[in-house]
Amino acid sequence: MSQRKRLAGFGSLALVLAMTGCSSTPSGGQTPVPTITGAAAETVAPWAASGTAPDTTITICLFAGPEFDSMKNLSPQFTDFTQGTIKVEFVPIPTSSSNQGTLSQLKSGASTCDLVDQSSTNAGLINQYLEPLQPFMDQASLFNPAAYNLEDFPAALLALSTTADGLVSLPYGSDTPLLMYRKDLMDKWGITVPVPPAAWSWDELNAAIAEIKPQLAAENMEFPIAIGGASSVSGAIFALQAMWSAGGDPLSGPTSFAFTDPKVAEGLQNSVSLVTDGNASPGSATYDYAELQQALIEGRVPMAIEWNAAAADLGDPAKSPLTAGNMAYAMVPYAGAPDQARAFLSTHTLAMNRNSVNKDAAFEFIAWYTSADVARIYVESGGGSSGRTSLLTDASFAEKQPVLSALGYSLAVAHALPDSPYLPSILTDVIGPSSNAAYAGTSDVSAAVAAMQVAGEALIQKAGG
Amino acid sequence: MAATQPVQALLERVSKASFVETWRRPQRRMVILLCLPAFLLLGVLVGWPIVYGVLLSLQRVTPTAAPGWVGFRNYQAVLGSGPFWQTLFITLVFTVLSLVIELGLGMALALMLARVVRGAGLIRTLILIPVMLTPAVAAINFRVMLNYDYGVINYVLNQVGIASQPWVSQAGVGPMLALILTDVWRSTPFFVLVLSSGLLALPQDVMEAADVDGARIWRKLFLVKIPMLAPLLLVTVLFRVIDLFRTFDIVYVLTQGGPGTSTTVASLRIYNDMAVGNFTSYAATEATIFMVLTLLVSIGLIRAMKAS
Repeated sequence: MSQRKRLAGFGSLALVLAMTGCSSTPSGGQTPVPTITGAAAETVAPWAASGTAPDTTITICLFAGPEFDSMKNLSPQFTDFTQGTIKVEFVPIPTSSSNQGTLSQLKSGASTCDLVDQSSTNAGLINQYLEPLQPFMDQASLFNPAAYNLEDFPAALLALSTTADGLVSLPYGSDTPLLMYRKDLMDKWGITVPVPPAAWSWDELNAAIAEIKPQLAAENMEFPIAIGGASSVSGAIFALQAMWSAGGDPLSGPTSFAFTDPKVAEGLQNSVSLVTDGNASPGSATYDYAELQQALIEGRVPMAIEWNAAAADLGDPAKSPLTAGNMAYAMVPYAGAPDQARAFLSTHTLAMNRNSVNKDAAFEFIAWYTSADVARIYVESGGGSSGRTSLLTDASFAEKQPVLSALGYSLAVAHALPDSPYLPSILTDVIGPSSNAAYAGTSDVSAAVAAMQVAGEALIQKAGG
Repeated sequence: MAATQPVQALLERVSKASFVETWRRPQRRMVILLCLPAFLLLGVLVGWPIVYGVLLSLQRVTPTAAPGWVGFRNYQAVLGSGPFWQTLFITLVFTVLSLVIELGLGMALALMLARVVRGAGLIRTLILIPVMLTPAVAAINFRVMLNYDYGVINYVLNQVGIASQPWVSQAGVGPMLALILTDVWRSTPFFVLVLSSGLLALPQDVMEAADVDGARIWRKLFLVKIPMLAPLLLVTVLFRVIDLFRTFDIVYVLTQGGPGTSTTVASLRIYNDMAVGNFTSYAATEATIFMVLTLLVSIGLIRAMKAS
């Protein structure tokens, strides 16, 4: 490399670091961490709590949204926890390009972001750029396993945080779609919805729908259930769940597909039939998170299959007077065995950039933010749902946030995801358009799954396979 | 106009002379130096991204495959892909239909506005509001209005005894019409504004001569006004064609390319390949081919413009 190129490289690096202000100390990852004793040693992040960390500023690059806001609001408490030694800065990544934005940051090899969000959909893309956490967790000065209690997280959640190198992230949030229903109306109509861990099968759901239908007119409702069949990631996830619910597994490997498995078609048919049989709106093919939540808020349907995150607004009397205090939550229907793995587990976890220059400080933030104490504050504040079983099953939350219990049981029937860098594309380009065509009635289910298989094979070609 | 003539003459002479010869003359050197920052800026902001895109299209950049030069293999893959040609066809249908409706409607409204004596300025200002609206916002409005369950359009239909229609979630032409309707609503005022200005600028003596010759309204329109507006029309059409070819936001918000892939336009496909799938080189290839096609259409229109 010529002298000029080297100088230009150093110049660019200095410019990036100066602009982001993330390099207040270059020592974080390199300086040996001393043994911590006393009260600090009892915390999840002893070194940070001891106040002996050098003055450091870590940078977290996170998609803009409620998770970003919650983390930003809680981060001053971390700085207090470290006795002012570790400060936290945030770089928002536009939500619409969060996967691409996170990947670009990590792929560039820059140390700009110390921490990033690893989710179910970007894990396959970014895992190779993440620092394994086990070496940090093995250091008593940095991590107190007894105070942290890793076993509090369900196995399905930790599986998504694990690569061949071990754990590369720790969860702070988890979401799955659930069956949401108006308990006041179900009670009035004499319909009993099974309480988790019990759930309805598709047949039982259809039987309940048949009972509900004659009652709808009196409530000024047209359809018994709202479902989302949009040509989007969320729409594809709903379709995928339906396929899983019948025992189909179309994503059998990172780059191999089994959409032509009859169980895949059977599962999707269960969901599509809700529209074709007139039990869900013909508009379902364009319905996504917002439309489903709106249908419940406006009292247009007594049931919906919707992401658990919608529960916060549904329980808020100011935002949704009709549903506040009247909602109950159950797991999505199954075909076959009740414990059929069928829930799509969407996680939010904190992961460390392999090129971070503040690794110890960054790890301390991960340990602190995902600890039980902070997760409790996070859930109490309505910031989101922790993945910790102790919180999801906590009786003190049950009345105020009934969704947490159903979410906890839903994690137990979460379906494994392929460790594929193409998962976002599989959802958007392979499953989404064809399932949407089936919901819109432009193709039948068997043609839709055949089209998914063709699109999947085209994707492999595109990927250079 | 007169002030630009010496500059034009100078530029013609500069282009004919060799660079060294030109550089030796202080006045010409000044011309080059003054133009240089603009050329550099254009080169960096426009030229380099295009060159970089083309270079990417000759490589393999995917999330997993080892990067490397692959020659024209990406072009072979894209040109051999049925869905790519399908998206081009959908883009073409959307562009042509939107353009024809916007042009026709824009011309009609501009002609009507030309007859308004009082308040034409106010009407022109009001009519511009949709153009000022961000396309995504316009699409969100239409998404809500066309909603099957609570959209105002179905509400109005229900009031007159017609059943609700799933406008953007049904088989057939509904979703494409919804996209065209949104674009027509948003972009027709652009035609109205430009054509109104053109109509106002037409020489009155020619119009009066046509009146004296006994030309009726349609003959005047087709034999006098439109031929005289032709250069303006072609420029406007050129801008709109380029704009329509690149349409992304209203499709992304309103139909997300569905049902199925029936409204997946080229920009949405390129976006999905690039931003969702991270098939960087494949998306760059699609973008390059699409850019060339847009360029060819634009050149055709520019030639037509010159000929007119």
